[in-house]
Amino acid sequence: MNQPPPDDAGDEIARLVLTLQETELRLQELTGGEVDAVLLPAGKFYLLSEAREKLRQSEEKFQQLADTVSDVFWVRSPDMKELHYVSPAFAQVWGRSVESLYATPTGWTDYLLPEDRQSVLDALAKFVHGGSGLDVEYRITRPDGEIRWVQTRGFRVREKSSG
Amino acid sequence: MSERPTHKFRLYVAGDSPNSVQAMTNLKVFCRKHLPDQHEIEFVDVIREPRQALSERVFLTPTLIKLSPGPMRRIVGTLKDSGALREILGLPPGLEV
Repeated sequence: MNQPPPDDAGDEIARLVLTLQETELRLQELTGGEVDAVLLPAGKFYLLSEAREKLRQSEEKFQQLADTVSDVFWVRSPDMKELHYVSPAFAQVWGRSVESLYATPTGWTDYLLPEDRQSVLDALAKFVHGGSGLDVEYRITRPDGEIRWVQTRGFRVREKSSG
Repeated sequence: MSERPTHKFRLYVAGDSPNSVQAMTNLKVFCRKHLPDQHEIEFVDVIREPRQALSERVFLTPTLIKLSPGPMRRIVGTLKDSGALREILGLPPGLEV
């Protein structure tokens, strides 16, 4: 996973967006909405109302960030092949819809200028195979023919449970 | 209660969370109606006493455990459907009020 603002958004948000929402849905399915608390492996009970509130706050914070910041940010799988989230600013910078990126998560490298492409692919491969961070600059071609400079930075976010 | 209660329940709740409160109310109403003067309910708050829940393998709240008469049975949820309560008590499925 890869997320530019390391302090603001942080791993809490990525973790919550990816995990808590799924957990919440699964619990809702399993319990028919009649359960208040669940036992955690640590031997403590966790109030679902607390989880919901935490999730709501994080989503709000995340949404505000995503909507107002003109930088693009995305959350990807560790191999960079899957796309969990991309912010609306993608459409402004790249001139292409976020839906198109969701449809083809790895397709963004196709829009790079050929002379910049290999260095980006190399940096990506290094990052995916354990590099601590990603920081690349390259040019892209927009559908209207305009060429833009883009800087992409990446950070790894580890889920607590997976150590 | 002067007589020894024939029906003993233990209800695990999470503080005053809505579903837990509902389960408490539903259980009290049910017992008053169907088991007047023959029941005893013990409430355990899992937030305060997680160890007891753990020792009885209670993983979710609200969870009702019927201690007696045997066999021991449990129900997870708000008990809004008294059918489940009737069933674990072996009561015939009667009319709802």
